[in-house]
Amino acid sequence: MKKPLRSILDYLILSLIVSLAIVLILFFNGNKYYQQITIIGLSILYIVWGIIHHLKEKSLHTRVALEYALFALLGSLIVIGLLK
Amino acid sequence: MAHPFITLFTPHPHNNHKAKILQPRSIVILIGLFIMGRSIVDITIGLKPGILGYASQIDPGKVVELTNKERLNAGVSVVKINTELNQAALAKATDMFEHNYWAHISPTGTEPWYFVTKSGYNYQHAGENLARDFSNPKDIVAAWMASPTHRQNLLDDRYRDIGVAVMDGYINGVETTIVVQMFGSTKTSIAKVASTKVTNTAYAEEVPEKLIPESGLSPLDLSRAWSLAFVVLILFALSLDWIFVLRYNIIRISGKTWAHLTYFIGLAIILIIIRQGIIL
Repeated sequence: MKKPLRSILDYLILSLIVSLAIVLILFFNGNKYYQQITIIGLSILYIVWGIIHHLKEKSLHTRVALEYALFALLGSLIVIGLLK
Repeated sequence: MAHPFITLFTPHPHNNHKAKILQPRSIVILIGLFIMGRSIVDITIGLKPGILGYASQIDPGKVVELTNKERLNAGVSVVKINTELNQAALAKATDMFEHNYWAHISPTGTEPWYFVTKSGYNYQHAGENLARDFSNPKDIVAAWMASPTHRQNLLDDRYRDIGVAVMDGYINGVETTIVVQMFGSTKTSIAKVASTKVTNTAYAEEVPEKLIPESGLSPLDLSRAWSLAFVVLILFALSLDWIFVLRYNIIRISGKTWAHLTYFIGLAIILIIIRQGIIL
């Protein structure tokens, strides 16, 4: 598969993951426990997506993985903080 | 020398072509700042209960009206407001605040049916739905309808009567509004229901009007604003970064800005759609 097309497919997958999380959050409105699990799941998948994407592009670096992990941690804290 | 604002928010040779705020060290600082801000809110609530309070003006009559609307939509007979069940719901809400708990069964083992019987309502079937931290009746009924067990309670055809109580108080130091919805039916009510026409207008006479709470600042709104502020800040920095990388074709060792943007746009949507209330 050509690189730009592969990249588009990767971003499409990420968009689908985020969209699914939004739908699940809506579905679980009123149930904070399941909403917290959804956010943690989204953040883990986001890190995994980042690592796989950069592996495929041969641009994976510790610093890059750390960046995804820190963004995921910040994002999770921001939303879970609201669901306490 | 580049202006600190420029190096903070835009890729520049002085920040290794990546906005300082998006660099790992800054993200760690942002995490620390977020936790610190939340802790200040939590500590304030703990030390000075009532400074940050959550209270809303929920009309119990509206809860009954929306409940009956859902029952009619489902082809189930409407429930009639019952004074005893209103008293039972009020007693349950009072008990939760007095004993600082949020559950169907109190820490001392008192079940909801105790309040129903104590009110003088001789029930054959009874049910209870609880909600807290909602700002309007529509969201409460929607949340109950979205939960299979609460929905089953709300649409149970065996129930003929309803009682609703809305009460403000403190649970774990946080001012909150609790809504107790009690359903019931007696042997006599089942026999009479076929000829009973139900209207909600009588409710206004039975339940005293709720006063507008004094405390207007909600810790829930403050928490949401605090979370949204961080997401907006990150989105702003990521958007600038994305524009600069595209415009100047910057090559660097970094995560994909578009991926970060997708993730944080998703989180922003989630923060907006999340309902604060809890049902039980």
